[in-house]
Amino acid sequence: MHLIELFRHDFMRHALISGLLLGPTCSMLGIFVNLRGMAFFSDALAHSAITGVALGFMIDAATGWKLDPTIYVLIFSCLLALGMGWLSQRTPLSRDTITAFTFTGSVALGVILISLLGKHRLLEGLLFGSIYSNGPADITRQAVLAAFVLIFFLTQLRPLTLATLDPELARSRGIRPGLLHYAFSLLVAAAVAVGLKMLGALLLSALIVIPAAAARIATTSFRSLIAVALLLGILIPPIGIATSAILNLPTGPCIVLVHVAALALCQIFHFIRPFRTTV
Amino acid sequence: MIAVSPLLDVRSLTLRHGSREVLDGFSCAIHRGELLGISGPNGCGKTTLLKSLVGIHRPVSGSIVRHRLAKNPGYVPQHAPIDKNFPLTASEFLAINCHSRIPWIGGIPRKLRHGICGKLDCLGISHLATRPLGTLSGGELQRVRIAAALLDDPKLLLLDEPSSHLDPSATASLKELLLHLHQEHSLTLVVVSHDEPFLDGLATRRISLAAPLLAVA
Repeated sequence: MHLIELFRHDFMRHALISGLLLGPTCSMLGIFVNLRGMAFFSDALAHSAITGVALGFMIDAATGWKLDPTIYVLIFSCLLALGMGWLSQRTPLSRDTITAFTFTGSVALGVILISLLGKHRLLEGLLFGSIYSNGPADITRQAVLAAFVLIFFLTQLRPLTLATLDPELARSRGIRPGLLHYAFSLLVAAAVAVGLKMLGALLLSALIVIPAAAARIATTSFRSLIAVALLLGILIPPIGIATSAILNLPTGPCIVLVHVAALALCQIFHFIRPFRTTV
Repeated sequence: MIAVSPLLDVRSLTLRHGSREVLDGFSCAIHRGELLGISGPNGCGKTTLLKSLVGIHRPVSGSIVRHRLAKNPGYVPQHAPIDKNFPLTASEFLAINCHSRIPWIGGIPRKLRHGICGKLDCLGISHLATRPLGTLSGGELQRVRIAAALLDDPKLLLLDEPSSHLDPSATASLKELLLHLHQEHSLTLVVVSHDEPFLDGLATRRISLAAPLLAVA
C-alpha cells in the first residue's frame, strides 16, 4: 500500500516511466556493447559526459545562452565517440588504449573546468544522478532515443550482427562495418547523454552493460539473448526504484545492485544448466 | 561456334596490400563449370586477388569484367577466429547472411525457413541447425559457412584457404563436399589455398602465383 501511495507522486511516476524507457533501450544497445567489446567505451563516454556539462556552463556563461545541459552532453559525447572511432582507424593504437587516454583526459579537463567554475556540488549530481529530477522534457528525450534505437535495430540488426561476428564476411555482403560502427557508437553516446540524469556518470554503464551480460550468460541463441536482455531491461529499473523506496536507500545504487543480483542469478542458472559446451 | 563469355574476366590487374604491391598486370579468365585452384607462397597476393574477385578490394589498375551470373558470388573468407560464446545458432548464422529485407530479430524468419533448412539439408548438416556456433568443430563450422555462402544460389563460389585449421579427416570431407558441389550442382568454384595436396585431385585448373610481383598462369 505504501508503495502504491508513493507512485501517486509525479516524481515517482516520472522516475518509473524513465526507467521503463531507458532500461530496455540501454539493454538493447548493451547487447552489442558486450558482443563488440565496447563496455569500457560506454563507461568512458559516461564519465566524459562530465566535461560536456562543464563546457556547457562555460559556453552559457560566455554567450548568455541558457541551453539544456543535455544538449551539450549529447554534442560532446557524440564528438568524443566519433573522435575515438576515427583515431582507432587512423592510428596503430588499440581501441582500449584510445578509450583510456580519451577518458582520463576528458574527465581531468571536466574536473578542472568545474573547479574553475566553482560548481563543486554539481560534480556529485553528475556522478550519481537523480532519477527523481526527471521531468516531462526528459521523458520526451528518452522516448525519442528509444524510438531511434528501435528503428535502428529493426533495420540494422542483421547487418550489425554479421559485422560484429565477421567484418570481412559482412563486407562481401555489401555491408559497411565501419559506417555501422560509427552509427552504433553515436547511439551509445546519445544514450549516455540522455541517461546521465537518471543514474549519473558512475552508474550509467551498468544500465547498458549488465542486462545484456546477464542475458549472454544464460542464453545460447540470439533470439533468446534479445528476449532475456529486453526482459531484464524492462523489469530491473522498476524493481530498483521500488526497492529504494521501500528501504529508503539511494535509488541509483539500488538499480545497479538489482542489475548485479540479476547477473548473479543468471550465472547460477548457467551453472545449474550447463547447456553450453565449448569445443 | 558461339563464344561463351567467362564468368570473370580479369584484365591486367595490379593489386596492393597496404603499401606493398602484391600483383602486377595479372590476367586470367574464369569460365563456367571450372574448379580453379589458386596457390602460391605466403604474401604472394592470393587472398587480395580473391577479395578483388569478390569486389571488396579495389585494384590499383586493371579491371574485372563480371558476367551477369557472377554479379553476386558466394564467398567464404579465410578462417577468422570467432568468439566461441557468440550467442548465435548455425541457422541464425545463415539467417544473418541472407540478402533479405525481412526484418530479423533473432531466430529464423518464417519466410526464410524453407531456404535455410534446404541449404543445411543439401550440405548434410541439418542436425547442426540449433547448435551454437561456438560448439561446432572446425569442419562443421566450415560447412555452415559454405551453406551461408550458397544461400542466394550463386553460380560462382569463392573460398579462401578453406582447409586451414582443419584436421586431415575434416579436410578430406571438405574436399568431397566441394567436388560434390562442383559436379552435382554445376557450381563454378575458385579455391585459394597454400595447401598444394588439398588442390590435387580437386582443381580442374591451377594458377600458381609466384613470389610477389610475378604471376604465372
